[in-house]
Amino acid sequence: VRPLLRRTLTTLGFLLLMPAGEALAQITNEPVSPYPDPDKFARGIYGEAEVGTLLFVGDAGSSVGPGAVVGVRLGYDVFRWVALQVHVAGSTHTTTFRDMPQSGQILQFYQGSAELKLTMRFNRVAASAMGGAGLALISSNLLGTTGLTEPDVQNTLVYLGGLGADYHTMSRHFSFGLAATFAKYQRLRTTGAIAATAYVRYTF
Amino acid sequence: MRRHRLRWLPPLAVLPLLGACGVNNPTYFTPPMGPLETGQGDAGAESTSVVVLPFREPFDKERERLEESSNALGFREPWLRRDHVAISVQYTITNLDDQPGKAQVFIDGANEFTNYDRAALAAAAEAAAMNNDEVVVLPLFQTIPVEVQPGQSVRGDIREDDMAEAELDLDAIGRWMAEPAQVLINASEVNPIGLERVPPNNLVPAMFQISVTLVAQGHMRLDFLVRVRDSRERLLDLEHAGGAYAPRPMGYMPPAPMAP
Repeated sequence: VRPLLRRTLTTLGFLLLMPAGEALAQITNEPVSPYPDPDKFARGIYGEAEVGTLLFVGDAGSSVGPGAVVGVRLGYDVFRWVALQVHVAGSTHTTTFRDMPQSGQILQFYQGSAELKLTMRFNRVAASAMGGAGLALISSNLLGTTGLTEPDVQNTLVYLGGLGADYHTMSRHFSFGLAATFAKYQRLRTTGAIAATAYVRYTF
Repeated sequence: MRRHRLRWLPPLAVLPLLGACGVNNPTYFTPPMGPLETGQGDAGAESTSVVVLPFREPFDKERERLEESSNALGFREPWLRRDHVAISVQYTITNLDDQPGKAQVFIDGANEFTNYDRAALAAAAEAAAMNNDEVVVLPLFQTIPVEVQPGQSVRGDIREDDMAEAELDLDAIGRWMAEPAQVLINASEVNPIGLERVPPNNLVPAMFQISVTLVAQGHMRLDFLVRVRDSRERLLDLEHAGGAYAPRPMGYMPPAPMAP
């Protein structure tokens, strides 16, 4: 073989082997999964901030208008599927009483409750059901002047239950969700109230 | 790192509670004998209802402080002050007649020093009147007359600033010898005539007794609410209203005219 031809073949051989060496380096690690592992979602103490609408149903439905509701929950995941939480929320409403001076007044409902939440997770999505009880405060005695409560009643026991759907983000701490809650106020002469809220949750 | 994140928890929990506190929520009072009606049988064209607001008595220390403060001011400091108690009246007038008619609402009342009893003033003025002169006694506040169609209702508000003006007028004529016609006709912010004797450091007393009168042509009904915002939280609930602060204000009598 001529020397020139030999050098040419040797050079081509090196060129062919160079990428083979780099390819060997690339396959030494497993590719990272683009999907989070639900088992690695944070679990334990969490906080939620919610905003939505609260609507009275029953006798108060026509006179206590729908109002904005904001609230927070602080909870603890006892297990993956069960959590205990405390919930405080406030809503504001405008009244409409036909031909009565109580019309056009603004009043607020504040409530605090302790709740048990059961959750079933399907990868990044979770469905939940909750129930609890607590105390609700009414900002004025206005409803007592209309017969919706006894005179001067400004607090009442409240029982509530609801359903929710939660979507976990790529972060192991953050999730978002929607919740619908029905509340029954013991001393308010109406069927109850429905709250529909959107929330963001951060698990520490 | 986890502890670092948890430090936000307490303020997060406290935020909604802050919304529930210290927002000076109102308390509502309805007429003790129910709605007022005029023009029924011998009821006449006026009907009045009195609402007494149940404030608590001052504690001993508060009484001592009031005494000290009164001595420093040179006049009595009221226990119930206008700048601590905001009053307004919401009302609905309903025409129960089959004819349209005009109606208006008068406000009178009492603070802890002076009781402005328009009926007593009118009776005294009529007794003193000569030649059957028509006697007109102005209320502390009056709404503009409105025409109400049969079966219809008209809503109105006597605002907190209206009541504040009525409270200033009551104090001016009760304690500071103001001429009633001057202060009751004029809004003090526009024309302070009649308030010359009121000291600049005056502490205006709030009304604790509100007298609401419906003046109407025909058979009409007045539903009303007295709305009170009490920033010092001295209002009692109905259960404890029996032990409420019960001052005995002097009935206002205008000074006798000077002899010619």
